[in-house]
Amino acid sequence: MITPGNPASGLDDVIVSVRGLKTYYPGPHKGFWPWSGRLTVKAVDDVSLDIRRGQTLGLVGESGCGKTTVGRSLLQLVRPTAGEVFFEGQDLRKLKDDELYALRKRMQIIFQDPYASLDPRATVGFTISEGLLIHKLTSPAELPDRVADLMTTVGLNPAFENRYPHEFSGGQRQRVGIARALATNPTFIVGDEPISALDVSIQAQIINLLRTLRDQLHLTMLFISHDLRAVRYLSDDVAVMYLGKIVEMAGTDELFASPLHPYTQALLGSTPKPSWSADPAEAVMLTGDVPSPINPPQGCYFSTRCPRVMARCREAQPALVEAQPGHKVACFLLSDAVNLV
Amino acid sequence: MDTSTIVPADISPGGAPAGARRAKRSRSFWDDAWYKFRHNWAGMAGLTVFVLLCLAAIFAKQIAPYDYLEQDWTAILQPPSAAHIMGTDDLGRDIFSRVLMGGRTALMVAMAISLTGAIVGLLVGAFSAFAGGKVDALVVWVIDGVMTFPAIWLAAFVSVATAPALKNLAGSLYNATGWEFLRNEVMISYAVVVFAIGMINWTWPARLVRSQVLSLREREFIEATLALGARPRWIIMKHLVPNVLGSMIVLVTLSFGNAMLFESSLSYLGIGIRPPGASWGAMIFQGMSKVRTHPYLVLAPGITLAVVVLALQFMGDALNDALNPKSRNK
Repeated sequence: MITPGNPASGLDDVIVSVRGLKTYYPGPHKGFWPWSGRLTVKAVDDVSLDIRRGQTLGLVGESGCGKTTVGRSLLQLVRPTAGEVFFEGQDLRKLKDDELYALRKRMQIIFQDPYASLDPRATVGFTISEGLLIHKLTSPAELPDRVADLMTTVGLNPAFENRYPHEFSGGQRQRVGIARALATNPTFIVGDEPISALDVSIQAQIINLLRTLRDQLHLTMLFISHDLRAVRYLSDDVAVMYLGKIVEMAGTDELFASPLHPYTQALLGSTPKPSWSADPAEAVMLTGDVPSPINPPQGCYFSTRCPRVMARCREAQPALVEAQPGHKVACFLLSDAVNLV
Repeated sequence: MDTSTIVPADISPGGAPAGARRAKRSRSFWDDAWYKFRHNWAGMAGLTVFVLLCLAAIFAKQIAPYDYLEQDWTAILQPPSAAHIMGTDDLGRDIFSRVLMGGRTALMVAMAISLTGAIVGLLVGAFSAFAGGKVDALVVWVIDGVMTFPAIWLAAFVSVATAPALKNLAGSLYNATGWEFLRNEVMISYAVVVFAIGMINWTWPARLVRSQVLSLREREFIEATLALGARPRWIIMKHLVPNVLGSMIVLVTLSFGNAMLFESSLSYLGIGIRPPGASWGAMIFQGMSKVRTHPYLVLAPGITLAVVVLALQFMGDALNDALNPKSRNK
């Protein structure tokens, strides 16, 4: 379960803690000329979350809502503009380069695209052993056995260690990517849409593999996906993002059983259900597009598409508040109800 | 760890039985490239010819039966015989000895051109890619400008235009230092040829490196390596260099043959290596007037040049296959 607010409480249990994370990118030029100033793309705008040891937080949202940027900002692959990112109690943004390089062996990432994320000129054996070589974790004599172990762990034939990525299928490459991430025995792994580039039949294999590995190796995970079924299957908690902000956060069962935010309700309603489903959802279909993060709407970012929009939604931004124990929502419909209690 | 539940049938170990795994380090990219090159007969033939040429050029003075400048007025325009295996030219010089020395010339000039071209190209290309913006645009503009001209035309122009200046420079350097070789006409003509061809040759590696660095920098596997905790130096040495170097080696090998052809072409036109320096191009030109009656004057240097350039092409192609991981098992 997600602990609200205070990072000081139970830090030993919370491995990853993010406070007020903002990551802005330089956007297009304001004017015609190359020297005219640039607009700002607020990819991640004031996100706070905690992940406890051994738990998996699912991060869902539409394309372009900033979920990938959250993952990369967490690992400092993208330098955040503001905010604090604690990993095992250390503020990553205050670390020196050398300390960060050393710490990276404890937090890893599995990339979305298994084709682009492997060096075409490196054998998969080298790719998998790279983390061990960089951090000098394994003696040269033990390295082959360690690589073979890793390949077996992720379901690859160790005899393939001298092959190149192009000789593998998408699912096998993603297994290589997982083995690479596991090599340094990390405690925390970001799965950046690790299944969305794969065939449906392969998705199930990879997601089962991730689940098995997570349970066996006691990994803490941030699982980023737009696939609600995968998130439901893998996550203990779920956070829903819209336009760079978290709009709802709760335990997985709670969130799927009773989504409170209109956006979450619409997302869940958009999942195709079999016609014989006992719960033919009153599908709330969203109209229009996601507004541009360069020029977000006034007030609540979701107000332009919200089926239950009110006048004040266009004026002020709702804060993320705990509507029910362990269930946080950023919506006036609910924060008002909470305040009235 | 029990992985039976997560190993789907299609990727479970099929080829080697469990336990038959060789306990050795993963074969590196270079081991693999050498393995593939070894099994390419054309590449190995090219390499053999090239190594023979290098040995012949290095030990030219020891191998040559005569001095390449020695004129024997009693043996003018002799056809190939036991005494002169490639015959003699119209000044009574042994053609075999001159072909050997011509090989030394061609090798020296080509080496100077392709190495400086590779280094200059690498620096300019990498600088341009990392600088970006206006600097990059300017560099690309210059490269495109140089490439627009027909290469042999531009080389001839540069050669003719810079020869007097280089000669003056060598003269003033001689006055300052007193080094005798600065007054050597042949040495100056070497410098002119290297300069003229080098002016054009650097553009190919520069363009290659620039585009490679630009595209590699944005690739996700670079970010993946960064996420592993790699420092910039590791990323450059283990990922950028191997990805760029493969193509560079191929390009340099191919440009080596081209540079030899260029040197011969300029010498054939009379604006390359000056007599009495030995050059295959100049030898072909001198023999052309008597080619009907004494074809061996042209054939000896001509065939040598063709074989060597072909060998370098074979080598370049084989390297291209060997250094490209996608060509495995072919």
